[in-house]
Amino acid sequence: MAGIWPGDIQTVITLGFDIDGVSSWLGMNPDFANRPGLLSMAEYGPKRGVPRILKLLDGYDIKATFYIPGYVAENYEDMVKDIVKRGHEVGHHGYMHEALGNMPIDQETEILERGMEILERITGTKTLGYRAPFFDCSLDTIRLLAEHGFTYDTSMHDSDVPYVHDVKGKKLVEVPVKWVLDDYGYFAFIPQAGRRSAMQDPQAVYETYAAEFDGAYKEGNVMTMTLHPQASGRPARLTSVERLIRYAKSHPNVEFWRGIDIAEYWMSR
Amino acid sequence: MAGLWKDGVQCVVNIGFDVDGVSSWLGRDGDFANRPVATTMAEYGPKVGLPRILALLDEYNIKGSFFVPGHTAENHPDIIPDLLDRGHEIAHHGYVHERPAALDEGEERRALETGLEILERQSGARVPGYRSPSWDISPRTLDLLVEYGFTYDSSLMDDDAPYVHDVNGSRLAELPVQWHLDDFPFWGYAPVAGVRGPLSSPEAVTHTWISEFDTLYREGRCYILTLHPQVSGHPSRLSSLEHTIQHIISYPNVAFMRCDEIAQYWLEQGYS
Repeated sequence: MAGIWPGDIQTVITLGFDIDGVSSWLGMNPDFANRPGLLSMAEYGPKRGVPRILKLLDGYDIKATFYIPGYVAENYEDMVKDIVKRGHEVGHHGYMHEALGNMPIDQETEILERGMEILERITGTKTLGYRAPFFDCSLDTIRLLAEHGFTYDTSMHDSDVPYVHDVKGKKLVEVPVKWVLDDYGYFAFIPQAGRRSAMQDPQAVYETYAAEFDGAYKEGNVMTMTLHPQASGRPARLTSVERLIRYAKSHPNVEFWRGIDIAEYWMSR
Repeated sequence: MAGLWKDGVQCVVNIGFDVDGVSSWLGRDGDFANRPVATTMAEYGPKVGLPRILALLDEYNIKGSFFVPGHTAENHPDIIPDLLDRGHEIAHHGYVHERPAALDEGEERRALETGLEILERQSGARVPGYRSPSWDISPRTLDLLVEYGFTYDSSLMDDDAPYVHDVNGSRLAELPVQWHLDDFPFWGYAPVAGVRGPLSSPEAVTHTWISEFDTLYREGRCYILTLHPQVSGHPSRLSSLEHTIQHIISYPNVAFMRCDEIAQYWLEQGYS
C-alpha cells in the first residue's frame, strides 16, 4: 500500500520547541513576577537550553520549528534571528502564552495579531504555523487562523496523520500532537506553582518516545514532538531527544521536517 | 484443592476496554465541550485508538469486553455493530460517564436506563454487565443493578477472583478490578482537567502488569485488565498490552474470557 508521504519516505518526524521562557508563568499568574526562583528556572530555556538545542540540531543537520510567544521574541530578538538564520521555522505561540479556551473572541484576535506583528517584524517573513499555548484552543481558533492566512495549526490530539480543516473554503492543515510526545509532563517540577511531576528518568522517557516512533514507523504516520527548552534543554533530559534522533536515524526512510514542510506537502497532495 | 476453573484452566484473563470518548470529560465538567484540547485528546480513543486495538485483539484471537457509555455509542453508531461482529462483549458504562456516587437516586436510574436503552437499541440485546464510571458506585448501585436485570458488576476492588453479592436474595456476580491493572493511573494526562499522571514508561507498566499476572496465575485466580482506547490506543502504550498478552500466552492453561462468560460460569458453579 502506498503511504501518505512522497517517494519512499515511511515516516516524518517534526521536532517542535516551545520557547515559553517566563511567559507561560507570567501568563498564568502575574504574581510570579515576584518569584525570581521560579522565573530563573523558566529563563534557563531561552538562555541556556536553546543554544544547546541548536547545536544538537546542527550536529544532526535537522531543521526544526520553534514556537515562540511574542513576549519571549521581544526579549530575545537575537535568538529569534539566529534560529531563522540556521534554517529553522518560527511559529506562533501566543503573546504571553495565554490559554484560549473560553477567552472572548476580541481578546483572542488581539493576541493573535499582536504575536503575528512581533514575529513578522523580527523574522521579516509572515508566520505560517501556530501552536496554541497549553494546546488549549477555543472553538474559534481554527477559523481565526484560516482568516489570518496561517497554513497550519499544531494543537489537536485526534489523529496520528495530518488532516485538513475546511473553514468555509479556506484550508488549514492540522499537524496533530499528543501528550505522550510532550516533554513537560515527564519533567516539570515547579514547586512554587504546585507542579510536581514524576521527574521521570530520561531513559524511561526515551523508551516511551522510541516505542511511539516504532508505531509511527510501522504505520507510516507523522510523529510530532513538543519539547520545551526549559525542560528538555537540560543536559540530562536532552539525552532523551538525542537518543530518539539516533534511533530514528538508524531506520531507513525517516525524515525530519519542519512543521511548515509537512503543511505545505499536505496542502499540495 | 481443585481449582476455581474447569477443564484444567489455571487462570482466567479478561481484557476490558472503557470506550469513554469525550463522555468521561464532559461528565466531569460540561465546559470541556468548548475545549478542543480535551475533546480531541478524548476522541483519539474511538477514532484512532479503537481500530488499532481491535486489530491487535484479532491478531491474537482474543475476545474482550467493551464498556461503552451511551454517549459514545450515540456519537459513534458504527462501534457497537463492529464490536459484535468481531465477537466482543458490549457492557454498560453509564450514559455520560456519570459517577454514581455523585448522583441522587433519580439521576442514577436515568443514567442506567438511558445507557441500557441505547445499548439495547444498537446491539439488539439487553446487556448483562456493568462497570461503573470511575469505579465510584453509590450505596444503592448494586440494588439497582439487580432490579434492572444485570448479571454482574465490575467496579469493586476487594478480591482477585469473582465473588457473588447477595442482594435481597438475588445473586449478582462481582468481577473485581484494580487500579494498577488500569492504564489511566499510569498515563492519564489532561492538565486542563488537573490530571497529571506520572507518564510511566511502557516498559515499567508492562512490568507491573506481568508481575501481577505471575502471582495470580500461580494462585489460580482471575486477571482483569481495564484499558481505555484514548490512553492505551497510542502506539507506545499498546506495546505494553501486546507484551503483556505475549507473556500471558507463554503460559499453559490460560483462558481469555469475556466478562459475561466469566460471570455466567461463576453463577452456574454456584460459587459464593
